[in-house]
Amino acid sequence: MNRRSLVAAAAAVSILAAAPFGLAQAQSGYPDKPMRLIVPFPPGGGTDILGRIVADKLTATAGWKVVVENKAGAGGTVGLDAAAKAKPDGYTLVVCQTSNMSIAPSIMSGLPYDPVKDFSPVRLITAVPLAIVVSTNSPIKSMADLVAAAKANPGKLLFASPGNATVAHLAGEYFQKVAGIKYTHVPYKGTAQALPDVISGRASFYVASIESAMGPVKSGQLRAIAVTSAKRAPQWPDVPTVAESGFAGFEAVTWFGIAVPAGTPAPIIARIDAEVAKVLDAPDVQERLNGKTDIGPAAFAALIKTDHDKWAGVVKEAGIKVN
Amino acid sequence: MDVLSNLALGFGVALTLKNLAYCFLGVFLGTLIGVLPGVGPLVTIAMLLPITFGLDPVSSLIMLAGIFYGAQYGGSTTAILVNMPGEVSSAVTAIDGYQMARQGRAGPALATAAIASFTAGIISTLLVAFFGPLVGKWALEFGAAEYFSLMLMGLVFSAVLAHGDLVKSLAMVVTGLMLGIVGTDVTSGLPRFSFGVAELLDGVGFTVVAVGLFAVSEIVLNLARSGPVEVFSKDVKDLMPTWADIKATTMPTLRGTALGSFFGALPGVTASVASFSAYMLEKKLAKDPDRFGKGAIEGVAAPEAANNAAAQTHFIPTLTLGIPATAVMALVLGALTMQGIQPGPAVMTTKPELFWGLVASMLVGNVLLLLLNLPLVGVWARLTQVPYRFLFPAILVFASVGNYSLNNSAIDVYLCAAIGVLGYVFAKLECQPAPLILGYVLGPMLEENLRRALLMSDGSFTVFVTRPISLVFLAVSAALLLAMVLPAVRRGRARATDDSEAG
Repeated sequence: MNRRSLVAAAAAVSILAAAPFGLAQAQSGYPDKPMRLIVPFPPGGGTDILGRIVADKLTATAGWKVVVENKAGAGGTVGLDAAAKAKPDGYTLVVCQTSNMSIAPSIMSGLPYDPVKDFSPVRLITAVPLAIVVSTNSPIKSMADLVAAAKANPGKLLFASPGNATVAHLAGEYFQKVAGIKYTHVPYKGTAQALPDVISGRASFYVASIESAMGPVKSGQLRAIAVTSAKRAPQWPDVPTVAESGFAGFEAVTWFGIAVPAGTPAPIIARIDAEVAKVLDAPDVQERLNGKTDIGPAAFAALIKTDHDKWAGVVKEAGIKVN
Repeated sequence: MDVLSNLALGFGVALTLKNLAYCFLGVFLGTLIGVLPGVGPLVTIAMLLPITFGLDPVSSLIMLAGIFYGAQYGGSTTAILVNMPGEVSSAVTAIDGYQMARQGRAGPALATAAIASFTAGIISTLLVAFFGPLVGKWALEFGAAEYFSLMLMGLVFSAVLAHGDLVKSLAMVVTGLMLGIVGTDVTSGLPRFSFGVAELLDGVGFTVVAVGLFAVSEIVLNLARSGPVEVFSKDVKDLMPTWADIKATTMPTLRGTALGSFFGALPGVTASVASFSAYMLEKKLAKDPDRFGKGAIEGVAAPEAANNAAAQTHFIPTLTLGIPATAVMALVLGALTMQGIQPGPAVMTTKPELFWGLVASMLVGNVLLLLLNLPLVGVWARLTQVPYRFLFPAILVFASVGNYSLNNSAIDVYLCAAIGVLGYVFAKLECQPAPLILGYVLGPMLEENLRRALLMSDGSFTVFVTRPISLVFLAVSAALLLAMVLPAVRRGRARATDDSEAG
């Protein structure tokens, strides 16, 4: 045995010996080192902004040192995979959302993680409704008009979405099923590419996050005909929900939440949950998030499951290709 | 005049001590991050965003804008000095700028880049001021059919780029197309050539391709030569461009500005298209296209003018339509929205001090950038005299760090290295990198828009000729093709007769 492997062996033994002690320490003095919050999208996007709000506030209110790590790629699945494989010691958190937790298993055959088995959900940050918008010049003024137009010309209306298998796309497919109508899906690379076609009327209507449609609606280029949440959006009190427009029970939202790798000790999950809940309670955060949600570990896990089943059904019925 | 009084209002806002300071801070930061590959305006602005909430909207917009167009100035520095594009848009500048640096003309190349950027910045800002809302409305007319025909025109234009071996050029275009196809297909949502690697689902990044193809392969080429490595000419000739240089670059700068302003106003075109088109145009117009790729100063001036012009006119769709042309513009838009300002057709009347303050600050910022960059030329140019054995490891480290930091992904670094090897092979086979970049940039956009246009027209090809803008582009393409083919045919015939006479 040469000297180097002897040293390595000694180091390994000492790490093994220290491990149980380290874990005990982690629970009592947690956190005793900086923790990372994986944001599975590039800086500047919606997920990143939410992640940074939570990280900054955790630093300010709990005194924790939370470092945001942008690990983008493949609709967030690369970042979630990294989180799933991280040490479950409470020092790795991840911002997850509907697409990469509840939809990805139905559309990606080679998904490298299992959203249910590999994660412990901690707390929902916010749930954002989708908006259904048309050009201001469009004759369509309500969901009833949209349905009538689609019935008059089956398959002729062009439904623009910010991308294949996004929540917006699935919501559009879902509505097609619920209303018993037919239109053609036109996917874009994102909102910026879709908006010119929607504003000019080349596309009949557009489904996207309320945030991305907010600007052109406010400036009078687009008209919002419905939101997809169960209740009206606080930003748009005058815009009816799809459910109100005659399709009771219709709901499609994009939610964002904090999760940790499965196997993280329960007391640590409870600590993180309590601190994140405090952050979300702050008035300035509530103002940014348009209201409050109170969905902790158990309820969040249930939500992931219900949404998984709902979107799996839509993917199957709409015949969306699995890759 | 209306615009002039508005501009006066704008200068009143931009020239306050506070806003001047933010403008300077912005362009200074922009130059700095532009020099480093990987650390781009997107990351910087994302980091600075929380700070800007405390500022008043005009100041924060002035600073963010400064970072954005300042980065276009800085991006050319490493492209010229060490063949490593600091920003996506300066990849084209590397082709001839680096050759100039090797010939000891790094100074004139850098100065030309700065002057061209400045000229383009001023002209395109005035364009924003005078025609902003009009151009914005016109940009809305561009749908899938128009984009397709426009890209097709670009492709036809570039057929002339194929100098030397036509087969090799075509092979490079196809290689580029294949690189561009990697990733999730927008229309069907299915992955192509991703080989089960999740990181490849988003495609191969432009920085990865450009740095690998230019910087990494260049290093391998240099080191592969036996004997002492003499990459740069020992005698650094004059630092500033000569009178002849300035004369040679005036028209290319103006043409680059025009092309850049045009492409910048279109939300559906990626940043590199503007600089690439400008380069292709100059090569087409040049009397001796063979100089390109060997240190032609026009090859520096035109793309630099184009990318800076595009950086200014990107603000047109962002501010007047609320449609961000790039990810950076999306951030700027987000910053404004959070400040309670709604960009849109009405922004010029509801927030005149914001719109005109920004326009005036862009004029001021471009002057600041010129003052900041010209004195630096001497400092940068001396960098080429650092012994290569110190220089190349530094370049590799920067290239790797830059590529890693894009997505915090090691796969990008490996990809860049692999493309570097590919670039070395191409160089040995005497295949030009330009057609590859062209295929990589235009190919996917061409395909996506073709398929979307057909999807929306229910499969009818008539959309391309019934929509007037699209028809114009197609007509120009056809005319170009004819103009290109006819002389070749004639020359071919002439040669045939020559041969028969000689024989």
